[in-house]
Amino acid sequence: MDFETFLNATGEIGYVRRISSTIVFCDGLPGAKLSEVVIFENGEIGQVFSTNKDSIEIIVLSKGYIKVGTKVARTGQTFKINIGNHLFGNVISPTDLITFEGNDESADRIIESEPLGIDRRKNIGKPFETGVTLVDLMLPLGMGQRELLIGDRKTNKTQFVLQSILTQAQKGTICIYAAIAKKRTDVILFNKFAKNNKIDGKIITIASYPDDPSGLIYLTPYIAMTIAEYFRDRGEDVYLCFDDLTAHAKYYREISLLAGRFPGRNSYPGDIFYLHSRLLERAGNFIVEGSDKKSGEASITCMPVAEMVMGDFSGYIQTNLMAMTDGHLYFDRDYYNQGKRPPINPFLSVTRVGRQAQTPLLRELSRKITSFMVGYEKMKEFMHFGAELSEESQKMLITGDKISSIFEQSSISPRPFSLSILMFTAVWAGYWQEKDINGLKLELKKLSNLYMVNEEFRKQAESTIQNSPSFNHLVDSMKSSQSNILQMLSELK
Amino acid sequence: MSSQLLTKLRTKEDLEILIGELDLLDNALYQTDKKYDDVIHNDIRSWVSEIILNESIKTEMPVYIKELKNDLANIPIISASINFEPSTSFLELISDWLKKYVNEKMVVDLLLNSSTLGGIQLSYKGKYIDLSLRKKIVGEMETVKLISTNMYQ
Repeated sequence: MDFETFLNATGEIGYVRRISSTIVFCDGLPGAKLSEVVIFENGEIGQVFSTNKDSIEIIVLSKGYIKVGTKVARTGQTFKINIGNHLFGNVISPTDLITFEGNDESADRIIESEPLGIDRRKNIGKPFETGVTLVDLMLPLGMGQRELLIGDRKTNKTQFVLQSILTQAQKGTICIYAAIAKKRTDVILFNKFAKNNKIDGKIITIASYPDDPSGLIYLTPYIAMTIAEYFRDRGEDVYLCFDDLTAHAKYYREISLLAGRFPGRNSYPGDIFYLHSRLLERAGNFIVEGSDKKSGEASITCMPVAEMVMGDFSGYIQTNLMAMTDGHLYFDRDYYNQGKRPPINPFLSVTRVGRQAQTPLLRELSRKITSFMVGYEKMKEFMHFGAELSEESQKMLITGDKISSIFEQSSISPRPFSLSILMFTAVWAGYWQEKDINGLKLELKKLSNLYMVNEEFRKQAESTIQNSPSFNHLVDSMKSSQSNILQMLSELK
Repeated sequence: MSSQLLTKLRTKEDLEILIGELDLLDNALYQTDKKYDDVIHNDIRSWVSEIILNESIKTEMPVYIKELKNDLANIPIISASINFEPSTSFLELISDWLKKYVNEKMVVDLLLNSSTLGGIQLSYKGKYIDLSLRKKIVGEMETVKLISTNMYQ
């Protein structure tokens, strides 16, 4: 349908009166509604951003050549996207997806939808595996959790996202990566990563770039969330990552300032909290009705990324996002500079609902590690004063160093849950006591290889973990099979 | 204030000329002597200056101009696209009808659009109606196309 058809169908016309970058002010169109799609005389489209007494504000979604005096017509439609399996494996720009004309109700979805109510939500009960030992053991996440990834720029946040996407995609979860105003090279690298690891069949990448119109960048996370909801309603678990929402907020600020909104803190408009909260509220763990009419469970696990400046936790957008999410993983610049990978600071990170999804064994293990690591950190602080340490304290420091080395993980090498537990329990049980850190790292690498290659060993390890009612029981069974495992490792080259 | 001038305007062009004349008068405020006289007698059309002189007796000229400008800013304008150059009598006919039956202050913004082929396209306060010959023909063509498609199926 063209401009004329819409003009005759709605019987309403408007004229562009003022242009302010991507925002266009026009008069007329008395029946225009918020978020309605409008079409310009030259075929370009826009979305109603705000309605005033005498004029309406429109966000233009193309780098067009709209002039003052151009005619505008309403369409009576809001933006929809056509979703299907054709989206997997490719990098998709929001412009390729958005439409306002489709009538296929099964695949077309409105971008701005209301989050499901409390009656359709369920407690988070399944653990979410990231493949990062530190997170899986110390800061466990659950399927349907909203976890903020926060840190300075270049602190391996995206590496963590890649690692968790790889883990989840290999487990069959649908992964959606929303690159908001990202560099083209970064997006290409991401796509290459997916293809190289043969997980592109499980990944949808929605990307907008810094040179795209602000309106398109603004819509990117909403489109990604709409796609996630589509797959959730089909009963599938979805992992969604917004990279990153601070950039999104900046583009929204640009739009708002151009539209003449009153600037608030850091010049952000007053509705910046609502902008993100209405997006993140759409994630969670839900009760869905499958095609067989039986109700099941499906989740949207959402990880927004927030960039901070010089480790400033008190930034406006950052604190807003912390308030909306169920915890945050803090990527510490100091840890990064010390060479720790991943540079997640477990003491400043929070997970609010992940623990409830853990098995009793894991919960016990997690508590044990956390309390031990807190003591270890305190002891290290104490060491700065050059104090003489007791034998017990020295032992604690050595064990702490060894546990820290378990958490050292190269960027794209996801570790299964069981392997992480196995490594920790082995060290805790006193394996390789005579080895130094480098020797231990080598042994851990061997253990990892053995676990990945030897299926029998893997099954045995998994069943030992599953059959252990408590952590002490697990440590005991590891101790009893110590000679066996060490023998197997020594046979490995 | 309701000036006689408002009822005398017929087209948007007339409106723009009048606004230009009022701007000239407005600027004359800063002349040292015979502030408005020169402009009223030399630069403004005689019938306009006559009305202005009559109506500005009761109020001061700057106040009068300001009020008149405010009224002109809110004057209702109807846009009409036609495919021929209208004669003065035709314009008068349309304008008189509009002033009589719609709004006595209404002015017409006439646009020449040969693609309409005939008839008129009207828009007023964001409302739009296409009464052109082209729309009729396109509609008929669609019907013919539909019938012929059905015949061949």
